[in-house]
Amino acid sequence: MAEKEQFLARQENPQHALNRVVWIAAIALILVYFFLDPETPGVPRCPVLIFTGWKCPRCGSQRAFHQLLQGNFQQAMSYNLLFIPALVYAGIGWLMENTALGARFPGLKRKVYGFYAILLVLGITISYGIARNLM
Amino acid sequence: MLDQPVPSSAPKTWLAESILATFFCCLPFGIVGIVNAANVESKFRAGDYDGAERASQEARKWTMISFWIGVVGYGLYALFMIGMLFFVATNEGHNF
Repeated sequence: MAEKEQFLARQENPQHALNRVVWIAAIALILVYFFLDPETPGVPRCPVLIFTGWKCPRCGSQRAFHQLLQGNFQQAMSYNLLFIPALVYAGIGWLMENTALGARFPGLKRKVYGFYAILLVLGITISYGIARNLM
Repeated sequence: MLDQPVPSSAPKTWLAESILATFFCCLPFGIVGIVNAANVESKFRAGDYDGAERASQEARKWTMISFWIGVVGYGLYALFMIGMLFFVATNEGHNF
C-alpha cells in the first residue's frame, strides 16, 4: 500500500500542471509587455479595431499594460480607463477565491463579487464599449 | 431532492478569470464567461444547485478556451516575429 501511495504522490496532478502553465504564461506576458512597446511598428493592434474600426472595451489595453509595467499610471489610464480597475478587481477576486481571504470576508465577497456585482461588471464593460465609440 | 444537502456557498464563478480573459485574449469568450458567472450566482440563489454547477463548468470551459487560444496566438506571433528578425538579419545589406 505504501508503495502505491508513494507512486500516486509522484504522479503529476493535472490541475497543478495547468496552474504551472498559467503562471509561466503570466510571467512571459509581463516580461514581453515590460520591454515591448505595442506602438512599435509591426506589433499587431486589436483584431476588432483592424477589422471593424470599432474600439472595443478592451482596446488600448496592450499599450495600457506596457505603460502600467513601466510605472506610468496616468498614461495607462488614458489608453484604457477600465484596464487598471479591472486588473485590481480581478486580482482581489482571484485572491478571495483561491486564498483564505474569501473565508475571512465572506460578506464582502458576496457583495463585491455576487450576482449584482457581476451584472454591474457586464453593464460597465458594454457601456464603455459604446461610449468610447461615440466620443 | 429534499434530502440533498444544501451547499453553503455557490460554485466557483470564474469571474476573475473571465475578466482577465477579456483583456488579455478574447473579448467575446471573456464576456461569455462573465455571463456564465452571473448565471452561477442567479441559479444558486434560486436554489438550482445543479444548474449553478453546470453554469460554473460552462464558465470554466470558456476560460480554458480563451487561455489556450491566447497561448497559441501569442506563441505563433512570437515565432513570426523571430522569423522576421532572422530574415532581416540574414539579408542585411541586400536591396530588395
